[in-house]
Amino acid sequence: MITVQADNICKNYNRQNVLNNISLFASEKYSIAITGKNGSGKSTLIKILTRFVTPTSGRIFHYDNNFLIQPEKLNNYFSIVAPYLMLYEELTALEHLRFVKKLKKINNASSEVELLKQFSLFDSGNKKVGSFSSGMIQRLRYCIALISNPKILLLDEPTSNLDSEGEDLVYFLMKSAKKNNITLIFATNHKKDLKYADCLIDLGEGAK
Amino acid sequence: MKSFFTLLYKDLLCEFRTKHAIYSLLVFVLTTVLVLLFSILDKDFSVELISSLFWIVSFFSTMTGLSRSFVLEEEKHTIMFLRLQSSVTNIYLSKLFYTIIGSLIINISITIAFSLFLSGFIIYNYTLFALTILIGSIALSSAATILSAIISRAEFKGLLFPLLSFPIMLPILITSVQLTNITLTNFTFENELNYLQFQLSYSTVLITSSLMFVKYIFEE
Amino acid sequence: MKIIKYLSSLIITLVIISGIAPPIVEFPMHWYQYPIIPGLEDKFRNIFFHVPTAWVSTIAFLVSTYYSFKYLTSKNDLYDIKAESSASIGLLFSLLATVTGALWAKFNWGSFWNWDPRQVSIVFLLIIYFAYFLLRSSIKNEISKNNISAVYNIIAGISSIFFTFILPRMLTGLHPGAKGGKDLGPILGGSISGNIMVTFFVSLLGFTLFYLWLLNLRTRTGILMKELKYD
Repeated sequence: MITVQADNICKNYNRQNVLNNISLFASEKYSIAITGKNGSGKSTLIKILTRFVTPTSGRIFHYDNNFLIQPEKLNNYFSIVAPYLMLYEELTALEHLRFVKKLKKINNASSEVELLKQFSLFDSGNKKVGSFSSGMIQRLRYCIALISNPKILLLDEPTSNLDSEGEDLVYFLMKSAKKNNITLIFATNHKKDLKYADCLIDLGEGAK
Repeated sequence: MKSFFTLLYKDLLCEFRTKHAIYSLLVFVLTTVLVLLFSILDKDFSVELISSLFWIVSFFSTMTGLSRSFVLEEEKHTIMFLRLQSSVTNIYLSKLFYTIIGSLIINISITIAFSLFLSGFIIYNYTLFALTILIGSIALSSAATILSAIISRAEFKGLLFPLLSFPIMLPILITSVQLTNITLTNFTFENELNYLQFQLSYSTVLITSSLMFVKYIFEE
Repeated sequence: MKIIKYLSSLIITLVIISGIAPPIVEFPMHWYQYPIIPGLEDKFRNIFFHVPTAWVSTIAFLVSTYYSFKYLTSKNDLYDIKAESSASIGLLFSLLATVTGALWAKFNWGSFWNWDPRQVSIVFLLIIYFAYFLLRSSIKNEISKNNISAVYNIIAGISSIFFTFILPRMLTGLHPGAKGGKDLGPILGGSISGNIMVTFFVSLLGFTLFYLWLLNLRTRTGILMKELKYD
């Protein structure tokens, strides 16, 4: 059982307060939505949960069956889909997936072909990402996130750039997260997304 | 270890697809040598001048081309993707080897260009010359890689890189020039081992400290 | 700190007097007379000012590197302020060492600038710390700025150790202690009279205390600036 625990997170950028005293607890089969106005610190909170950004004060814990996960092993547990996650223009979709598979060294990784088919990218598998549309890139981000069978899935604006077919795929994924024992945390401003969350964190205007 | 090779393979594949760095480097080397030739025509160059020119060209091409390793990842915002899949130390190591390979290609092509066009460029001691090129490339790359990581997080990258890298690379350049002087003259000296030791120890210390501290560069 | 402040000013005043006032005679008979050093004569008096400034600039940079290391291991902002303060003092003193050295070089070696390895190495220190301050000013995010400048400071510190302590001994040069030069210079060679030695080491002590006081002062202003949100 995987749990994510954040205690009293504060984050300042150059003495400007971005997050003020945020605590959350997420575990398997339990999904959390983070909402709030633009600039309220949603993405910062997501980055703090992945330990990409260190909080000014407060602490983050990731547990695997009550054992603390070492920060250097954390990459094997979570995946992230976010608009600021850029991919290599020179590499093809398939190369990206194989690259991640090799780097994450996960034994029971999903097959890259299956994933591409699921996200209807199979025909573009050997095309360079530089020629992809933004919606296709977002689909590829999901493929990359899912190939390592993550235990924690972090989504920042899950449906951005996607058409209705793509949105349905994402909603299906969010719905099946519980079934697949995935801890789901997502940041969004779409009312439609919120029904997939068991719990809502509203950052409101953000810390000012 | 396996992930290190995967990362290096990715860098080489990206470079192979665009060929951006390698073309600009070769053009840079060729134009510098041609400018030199036009300005001197058939006047003779002293050995000291030739070996200084050799390393000046090498220094500037290392800076223009290879400083891009981390800077490119940061500019294209792909560094986050990399960090999600691997540790910063592994990324550093792959970039270091990528830079060493690039630096070797630069130095070898300068050697070819110099021996084709400069009549004064005659190597007497081949073993020492090969060692000079190899160890010089490793030393230059060990400085360039960590500096590239530092610069990638700063503004005014174009201005900062020469200023930051000049003092760090100067000890390497001075000793490399001395070594090249020795290989281009027919005399035997007893200093060459000292210089090689100096370069080796310098790059070892640089690489170890880079491995220790590179993770702090990406902290926010 | 008050004691250090007054002590350093007192010692430096004494050094200025005892460096300039005593007459130089061929056979010193009294404690206040300096002997003639062949080739230097009156010019040797600069040793009481040139060497301590160079000494302080080296110490300041090593201290700065040390505090950068401390900052990375502890993430305490105080160490970042101390590293920056020490580097700025080091920058000032390396400028002073360059100027006093250039003057001395003009009268002893014939020109202000001779491309002696040690002259190059002090300019090298100057460039490193100009670059350090430029780097600090070109990173906006404060945490990144502190971290990255600390990493650069450590790398630069390593490089300056190699450049100022090892390289000048491998290359031929004009300064004492260079490769091929037999004499270690008047101080390390031990060929100097007692009163010069005393003045010299008192001068080193005075300048080092002066450095400590400056470091304390700069650190305190740095803390205040941070609290008042100035940059």
